[in-house]
Amino acid sequence: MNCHKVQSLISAYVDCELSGHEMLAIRQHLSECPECNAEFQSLFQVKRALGRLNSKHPHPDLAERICRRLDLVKRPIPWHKQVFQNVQDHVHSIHPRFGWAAVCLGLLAVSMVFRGGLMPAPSPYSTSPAFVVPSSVASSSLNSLFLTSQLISTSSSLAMTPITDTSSERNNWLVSTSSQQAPLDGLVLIDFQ
Amino acid sequence: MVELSETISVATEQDRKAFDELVHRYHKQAYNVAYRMTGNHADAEDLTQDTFVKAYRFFRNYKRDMPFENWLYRIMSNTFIDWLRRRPKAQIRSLDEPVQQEEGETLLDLPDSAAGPETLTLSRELDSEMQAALNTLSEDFRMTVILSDIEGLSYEEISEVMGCSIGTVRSRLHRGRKLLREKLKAYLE
Repeated sequence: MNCHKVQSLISAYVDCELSGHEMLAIRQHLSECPECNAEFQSLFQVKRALGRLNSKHPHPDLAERICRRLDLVKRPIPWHKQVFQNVQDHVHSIHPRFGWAAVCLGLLAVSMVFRGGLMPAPSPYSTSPAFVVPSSVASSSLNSLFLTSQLISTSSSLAMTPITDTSSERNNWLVSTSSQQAPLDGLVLIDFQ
Repeated sequence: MVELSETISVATEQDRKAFDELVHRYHKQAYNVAYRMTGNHADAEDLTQDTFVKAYRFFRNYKRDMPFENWLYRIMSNTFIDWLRRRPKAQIRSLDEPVQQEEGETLLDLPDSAAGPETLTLSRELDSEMQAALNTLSEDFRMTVILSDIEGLSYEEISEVMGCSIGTVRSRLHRGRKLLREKLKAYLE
């Protein structure tokens, strides 16, 4: 090991933070090299002087003052606890004693409405393998070409039937396919509006 | 005395009383490091308080595989760097340094009553010079030297506290000691 290498590792040698092999090699070098040995001695003195510094003592009431400051500290609350806290505050504001009971009754009523068939009937298009194409879109050659190419790429044949949207009184096109392959099977409605 | 592991587990349950126990147990050690970082009593107390307050706020982030005091040092190091950013023009001065007054020089710090008069003079002089030399180091070098040579942490522990590699710790210590050696040449020969 040469002097340059030894001097770069000398602080780690002072701290015994080298491998056994490196420690032995440096110790051997120091016994033969006065210059490196002087470097080692001077850095060792710095370390020893720092280690001999007196401990500084705080004012006797520092711990009490820290604890008093902790009384004023608000610790960050995890988001799920924060949400629960907000809900709880809101429910409490409804009624201090029966707020939760009111919420439970409300949830029960909502679940009964959904289970009792009071939901609107599903659209007839939602289960049929078809697109509903607005007339404005179908009349545009560019858009209809694009739409057709998309359909043809995945279907064997297409049928376009005019239908009337009673709510808007506009003619739309129902595009259906005979293909049983995905993704046209059971197509969802596409909202072109 | 309550075991540390017990103390920490209770503190995890946000038990203020248990955290107060940790404050009482570690505040002197933390203050000593803070003093060597800041170089004066007032800033050291402020830094120690801010460190414990942050530790309390984020105690649930504390991983139990690291000693509590090392976690405190990490918070203290970051807090101190925040201070310097917020107060770039603040003068950090050692209270051990003599202050010029009309009737002559005086010291702001309280004397260490544990030492005898002769030891006191020599110790204070060396201590003052050492602190002045430490103050000239950058905060990263200073913290590394303090943790190694005053607190006795290993390179691995310092790398965890400072969030850097062991190679960086080794390099900072080597360069930090060489800088201190230059400043303290007259006292170490």
